[in-house]
Amino acid sequence: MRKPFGLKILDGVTLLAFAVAVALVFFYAPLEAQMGAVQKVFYFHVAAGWTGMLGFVVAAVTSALYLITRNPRWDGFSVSGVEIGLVFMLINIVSGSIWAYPTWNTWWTWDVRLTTATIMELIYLAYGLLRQGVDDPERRRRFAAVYALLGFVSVPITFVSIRLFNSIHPVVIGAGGEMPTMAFTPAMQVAFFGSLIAFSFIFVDLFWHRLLLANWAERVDALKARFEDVEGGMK
Amino acid sequence: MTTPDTVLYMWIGYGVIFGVMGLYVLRLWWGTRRLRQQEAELRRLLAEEDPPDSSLGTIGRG
Repeated sequence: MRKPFGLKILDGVTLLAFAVAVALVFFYAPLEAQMGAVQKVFYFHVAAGWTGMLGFVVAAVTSALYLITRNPRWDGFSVSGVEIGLVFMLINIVSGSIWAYPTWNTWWTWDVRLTTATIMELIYLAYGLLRQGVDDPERRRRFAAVYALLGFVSVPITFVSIRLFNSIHPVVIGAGGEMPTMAFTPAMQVAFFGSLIAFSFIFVDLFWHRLLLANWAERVDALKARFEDVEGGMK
Repeated sequence: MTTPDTVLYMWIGYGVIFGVMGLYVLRLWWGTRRLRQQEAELRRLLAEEDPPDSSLGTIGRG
């Protein structure tokens, strides 16, 4: 199975977008006056959170599509979305903790945003455990789809938590009211939105690669089943 | 907090970000490589055990 030409193009565009985002963060965005160099972690920290949530949104939408159509293809989309979402939310949480130490003087605090993000990550970790615990493929897909839809409730809660409750986590997107906000200069905004765009490309590219992997695994499983049939027939 | 401290934490932060992303790309690459080898091995075994007029050789192609 060859890599589709469109994916090769996307690989190139994604690498270019990533390189531009890195250059914007390190060479274009100015140093923030109070936090210093560690503030630069925030560009990719937020972009990773955006990518993670994008993965969970895709998983929820495709899980609903699976429940409506019962087409196993949508289950592959859902698994891929959850996997990428988990990886990028892990990056988001850990990089946030590293940013927090020199800024808040602590690696971790049970602030509402940190807590809801951690619960969200654990909910989607359990998605993988649920899948491993069900042998029948049709039941596994159905249970996982329902779970992904229920688990998705944690995503908007995490997003709006700092706007609804008292939090020390800064509001980055939109006005935060009385909450702490990130005061971006125009050059910082370019680096910030450049990072978001680059990570959006990274998401689509990784998602496509992960889908190909899932399709390939299905082909190998089919070949294995056929091989066992042939072997069984010869005995 | 002095500036060198914040620089150190910036590099630790980006080390984690690039490191985890790199590991995930490696996982996809390694998974693809492993499946490619398994598919080639299964096709070879099927070709050995399968009669020549069987349609098994076409499974999964296309």
